[in-house]
Amino acid sequence: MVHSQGGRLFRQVLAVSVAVVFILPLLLMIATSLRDPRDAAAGLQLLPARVHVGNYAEAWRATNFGRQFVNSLLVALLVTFGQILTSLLAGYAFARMEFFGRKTLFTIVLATMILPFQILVIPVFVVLARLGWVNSYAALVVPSLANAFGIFLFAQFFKTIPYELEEAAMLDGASRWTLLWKILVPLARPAVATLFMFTFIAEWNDLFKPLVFTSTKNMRTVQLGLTVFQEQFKVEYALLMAAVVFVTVPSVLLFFLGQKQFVKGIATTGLK
Amino acid sequence: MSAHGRDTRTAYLFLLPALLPLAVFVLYPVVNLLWTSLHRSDILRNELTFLGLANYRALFAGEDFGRAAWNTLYYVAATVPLGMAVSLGLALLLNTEIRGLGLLRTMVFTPVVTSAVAAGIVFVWLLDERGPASALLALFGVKAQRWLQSEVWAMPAVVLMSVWKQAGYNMVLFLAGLQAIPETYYEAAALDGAGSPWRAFRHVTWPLLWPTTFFVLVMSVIQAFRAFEPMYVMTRGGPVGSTTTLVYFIFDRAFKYGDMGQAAAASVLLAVVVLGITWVQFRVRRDA
Repeated sequence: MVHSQGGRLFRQVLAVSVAVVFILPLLLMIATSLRDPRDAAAGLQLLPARVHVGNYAEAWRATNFGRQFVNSLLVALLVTFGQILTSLLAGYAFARMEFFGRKTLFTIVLATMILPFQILVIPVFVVLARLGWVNSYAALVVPSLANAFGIFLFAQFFKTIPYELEEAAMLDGASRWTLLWKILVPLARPAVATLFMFTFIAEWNDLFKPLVFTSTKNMRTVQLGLTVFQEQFKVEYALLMAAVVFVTVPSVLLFFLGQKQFVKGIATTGLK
Repeated sequence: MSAHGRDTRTAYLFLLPALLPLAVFVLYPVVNLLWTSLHRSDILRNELTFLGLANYRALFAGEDFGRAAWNTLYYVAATVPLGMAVSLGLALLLNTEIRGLGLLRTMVFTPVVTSAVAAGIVFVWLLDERGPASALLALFGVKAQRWLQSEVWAMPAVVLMSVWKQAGYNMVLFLAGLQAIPETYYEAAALDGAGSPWRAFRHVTWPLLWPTTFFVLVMSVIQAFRAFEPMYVMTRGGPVGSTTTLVYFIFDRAFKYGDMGQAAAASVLLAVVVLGITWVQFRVRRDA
C-alpha cells in the first residue's frame, strides 16, 4: 500500500497514544503502590508526591503472602509439568502408533475441549469431595493434569517430523520410551516451551479453582489471597496495589522472557 | 517393525496418564452433571433425592435465573462486538511501518498476561468515586459517582475491563491473519482502482481476513459466556444482581447456597448454548 508522509505521522501518533492508553492502568497501578496510603484514590494527581516503598512490606505482612506464593508456585509448576508429561506421552501415541480405537479416542480427547471448566465445576467438586480432596493440593492439581490442547499440540507437531530418525534408532533396538525422550522431545523444545508458558501463566492467574475447591487459609493461592485482601482493605488502594504488583510480577516476567515464543504460539494455534 | 508399528499395549500405557484425568474430571462430570440436575443434592450427606425436571422448572419460575441469562446476553452482546472492533483496529494500526512496533504491541498485549484479579482491582481503583476516571469525567461536567455501585454502570464497567484485558490477545490473532494476505493482492487491487485504504480494506482485507474474524468471533463468544472473574473481583455480581451472569449464578447457587441441583440445571442449559455455538461453527466451517 502506498501511504503519504502525513498519513504515516498520523498513524505513528495514533499508535503510540493507543498503546499508552492500554499500558496506562498498569503503570498507574505501580504509581499508586508507591503513594502515601492516606490519599491513594488520587483523582487526577496520578503520580505520588513522595515515594512510599513501605507499602510493599506492609502489604506482604498484612496477610500470609509468603505461604500463598509457595502454594501458587507449587500448584502452577505441578500442573504445568504434569500437563507437559501427559501431553507428550499421549501426543506421541496418537502421532506414531497404530492401535485399536485410535481415531475414536482422539475424537473423544478433542471433544473434552468443548465445554468450559466453569460449566463442569459442580460435578468436579462432587468427585473431589468424594475423594476427600477438597482443601488439598490434589484438588488444585489433579483435575488439570491432562489437557486436550497439549495432546493435540504435540500430536500435530510430531506428525511434522520425518520417520527416518526413529527408524534408524529402532533398528538399534531402541524402545518407544527411548525414541520419545531421545529423539522427539529434543526436537519439540519450542512447543514444550510454549505449553510451559501458557499453562504456568494460566495456572498462576487462576482464581476459579482455588475459590471453589479450597476454603482454608493455608490452601490459599495468590489470586484467592488477593480477593480476600481486597475484602479486608477495600479502599486502602496503596496497600492493595502493592499486593497486586507483587502477585502480577511472576506471570508478566515470564511473558517478557518468552514473548516471541508466546505470541507465535497464539498466532499459530489460537490457544488460550 | 516400522516406526509406525502396531503396538496397542504400549500405546495404551502412553495414553493412560492423560486419559485417566480426562475421564474422571471431564467425561464423568458431563454425565454426573445431567444426573445432578435431576436431583435435590445434599453434598455433605451424600444424598440425592430424585426430582425429575423440578430444578429446571424452578429456574424458569424464579426471577434470578432469567435475570442472569439476560445479564449474560448483555455482557456477550457488549464485549464481543466491541472487543472485536478494538482488536481489529489495533491489528490494522500495528501492522504498518511505524517506529517501535514491537514495543507498542507489547504494551497492548501485557494486560492479557496479568491476572483478572489484578486487572479487576486496578479498575476498581480507577473507577472509585474519588479516583482518576471520575476526576477526568468531572472536567467534562460529569458528576463523580460510585460507578461500580450503580445498577446502570456496573456492567459497562465490567465490559470495559474485559475488552481492555482481552484486546491484545485477539489483536495477535488478527495480525497473523493480516500477515497471511499476500501483498500482491493489494497491488492488484490498486491497479484495478481499489487503491484507497478504505476500498482496499473492503475489497481485499475484509473478505480474505474472514476465516480469522470468524475464529475470533466464536472464541470471543464462548469466552464471554464463561466469564466469571471480572464480575467476582469488580462487583461480586452486584449491585442487586446487575452483574450476576450465568456462571456467577451457578457459582452462587452451588457454593454459597449449596443448591447443587438447581446450579447443575443452570449449567446444563449453559452447556446447551455452548454446544449450539460449537455446532454452528462446525457447520459454517464445513460449508465454507
